[in-house]
Amino acid sequence: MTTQTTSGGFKSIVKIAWRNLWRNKKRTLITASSIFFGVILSALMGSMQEGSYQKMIENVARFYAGHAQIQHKDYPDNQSTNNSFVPSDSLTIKLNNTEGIDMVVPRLESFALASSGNQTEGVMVLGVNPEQEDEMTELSDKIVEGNYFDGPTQLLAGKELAENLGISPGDTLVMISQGLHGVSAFGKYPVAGLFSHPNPELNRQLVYLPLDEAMYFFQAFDHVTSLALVGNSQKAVNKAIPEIKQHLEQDQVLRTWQEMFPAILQQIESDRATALIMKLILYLVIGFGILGTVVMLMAERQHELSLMVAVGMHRSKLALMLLLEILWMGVMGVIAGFIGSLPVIAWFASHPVPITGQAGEWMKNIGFEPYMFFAWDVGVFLEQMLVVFVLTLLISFYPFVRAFKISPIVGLRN
Amino acid sequence: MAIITIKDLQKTYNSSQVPVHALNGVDLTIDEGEFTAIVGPSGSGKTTLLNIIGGLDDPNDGQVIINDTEINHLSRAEKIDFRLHHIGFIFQAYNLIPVLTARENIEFILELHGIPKSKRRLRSNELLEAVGIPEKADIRPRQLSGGQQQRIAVARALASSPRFILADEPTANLDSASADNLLTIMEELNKKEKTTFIFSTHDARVVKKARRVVTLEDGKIKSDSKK
Ligand SMILES: Nc1ncnc2c1ncn2[C@@H]1O[C@H](COP(=O)(O)OP(=O)(O)O)[C@@H](O)[C@H]1O
Repeated sequence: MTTQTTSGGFKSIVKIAWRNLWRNKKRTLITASSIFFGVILSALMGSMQEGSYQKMIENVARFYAGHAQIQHKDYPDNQSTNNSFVPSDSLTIKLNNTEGIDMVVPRLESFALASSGNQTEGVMVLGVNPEQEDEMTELSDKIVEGNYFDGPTQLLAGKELAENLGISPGDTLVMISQGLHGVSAFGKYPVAGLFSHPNPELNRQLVYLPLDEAMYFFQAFDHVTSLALVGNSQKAVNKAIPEIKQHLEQDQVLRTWQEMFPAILQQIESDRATALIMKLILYLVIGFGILGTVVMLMAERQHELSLMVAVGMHRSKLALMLLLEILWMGVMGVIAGFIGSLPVIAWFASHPVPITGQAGEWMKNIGFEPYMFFAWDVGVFLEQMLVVFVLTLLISFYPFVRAFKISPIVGLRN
Repeated sequence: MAIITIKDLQKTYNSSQVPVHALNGVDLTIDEGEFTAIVGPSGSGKTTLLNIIGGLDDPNDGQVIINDTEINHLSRAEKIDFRLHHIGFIFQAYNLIPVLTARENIEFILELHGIPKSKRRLRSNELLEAVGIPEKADIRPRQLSGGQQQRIAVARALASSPRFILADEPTANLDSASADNLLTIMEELNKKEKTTFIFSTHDARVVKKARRVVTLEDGKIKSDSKK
C-alpha cells in the first residue's frame, strides 16, 4: 500500500473560503466596514497632515523665500551686500528657460538704520522688483494702509515698524547704512504704504524698496543678494536643480528652502512622529476588531476544521483556505475604503475646514491661515491602503498558524 | 485476508487528575469485507479504538497495521494522505462541510484525490443513487434531515472506494427508522462495493445487522462473535 501526496482540491478550497466569507454576512460586512472606515480615517488624517505641511511649505516657499535661491557662497554666513553678485545674462536666460522654474525674482537685501523724528530702528531693507515680487508673494494684498509702490523712490514699511517709528503713508523715512565695499549709504524715502505680513518678525523689521533704488542706496549697481526661484511645485524645482547647478559661477550656491529654514523641516518631522502615534492607535483599534472576528471564526469552525483534516485534507490547505477568507475580507474593506475616501478627501481638499475661536486666533498670530487644509495626494491613499492591508495580512497569520495545529479528532466533546 | 491487525493496543488519557486507561491491551484482526460492530457501554473505549485505527489519535503502546503499513509510524502529513487514500470516515453528526452541497461534499474527497470533474460527477451520481437521495444533490447540509445528512456522509466516506470505513456511532442521533435505513444502505454498499465496515454502536437493533460483534468493556475485548 502506498501513500502518495495529493495536490488536488484547490478549487474546492477557494470555493469553501468564498462561501465561508458569506456565511455570516453581517459579521463579514461589519469587519469589512471597520477596515473601510479605517482606510478612510487614516487617509483623511494623512491628507490633513500633508495638506498642512504643504501649506506651511507654501507659506515659506511660495510667499516668501521661493522654493530655492541662488546666493553668493558667503552670503549665508554673512548677510551683507559685500556678499552679493551680478547675475550674468547667460544665467538669467538659462533660468528663464529651465523647465520647472516659473519665476526668477531678484532681490538685494541688507540692514540699515531708519529714523523719523527722534525715533531710530534697525531695519532689513529688501530691494525688490515691484511687479515680480507682487506676482510671487502677492505683497500688494498685504498693504493695509496707503498704496503699493506708486513711484520709483517710494518705500513700504511693516505695520509695526511704522508704529514704532511713528510714521504713516506720506511721511519720509531717513535711512543710513554701509554700501558695497564700505561706502556709506544714505537715503530719504517717502512712505507709500504699510503692509501687514503674517510673520510678526517681518512686520517689525522689514522695509521694501524698489530694486533699482536699493541698488542705488547700497551703491551696488546690478548686484543682487539672491535670485529666488519659484516653480509650480517643490518637486518640479528639485528636478531642475542639478541642471541649474551646472550654470552657476564658482562663488554662487543654490540653496533650497529646506536649507534656508531647517526649523520648519524639523517641525514637520516632529509633527509626523506625533501623527504616526495617532495612526498607530487607529491601526491598533482596527487590528483588534479584525482579530476578534478571526478568533471567533476559528472557535466556531473547530469541528469542521477537524473534520476536514480527518477525512484527508492537509493542514496547509486549511491554512490557505483561512488565509484566503481573511484576505478577501481585507481586500474588500480596503478597496471600498479607497473608493469611499476619494469623494470625502476630494471634498475636503477643495473645502478647507476653518478653524475658529482661540485656536484660529493663535494660528493667525503665528502667521498661518486659520484653516485645516487637506492634500489631494494619491500617495496618501495608497500608503493607507497598503498599511491596512498589511495589517490584515498580519492578522491572517493567526488562523494560518492555528490551522497547522488543528487536531483531526472530531470530538463532539469539545 | 486481514486488512487490519491490532496488537496489544494501550491508550491512557492523562488530561484529568486520575489517568484514564481507555484501552487496556486490545488485540483484534479485521478481514476484508467484514461488517463489524464494536459495542460496549459508554466509556468502554469504542471511540478511542476507532480514532487510533484511523490514525486520528496515537496509542501509548501497541500497533495498528493496515496491510503492511504501521499507521502510527507515519508522519502527521503521511497520516493525512493515508486516511485520504485508504480510510472512509463517518462520525456521529455534523459530518459534512456546511457551505458545500451534498454533491460537493461527496466530490470534495474526489477532488482532493485529483480526480477529474467528469469522473467525479459519475461517481457522485452513483453514490447519491445508492444512498437513495439523488434529488438532494444540490442542497446544503443544513436543509437535510439528520438521516439524510448521515446518508450523504456514507456516500462521502465511500467516494474514493477506500479499503475500509470507520463509523463512530453513525446512528446515535437518528430515530429508529432512519437508523434502520442507514444500516440497510451500509449493508448494501458493503456487499456491492466490497468495502469493509467497522462501526461502533450501542443500539441493539443496529447490532443485529452486524455480521461480527466485538464487545468492549473497560478498554478490553470482552467477547467477539461472528454470525
Ligand atoms: N480526550 C480525552 N481525555 C480524557 N479522557 C478521555 C478522552 N477521550 C476519552 N476519554 C476517556 O476514555 C474512556 C473511553 O472513552 P471513549 O473511547 O470515548 O469511549 P466510548 O466511545 O466507548 O464511549 C472514557 O472513560 C473517556 O472518559
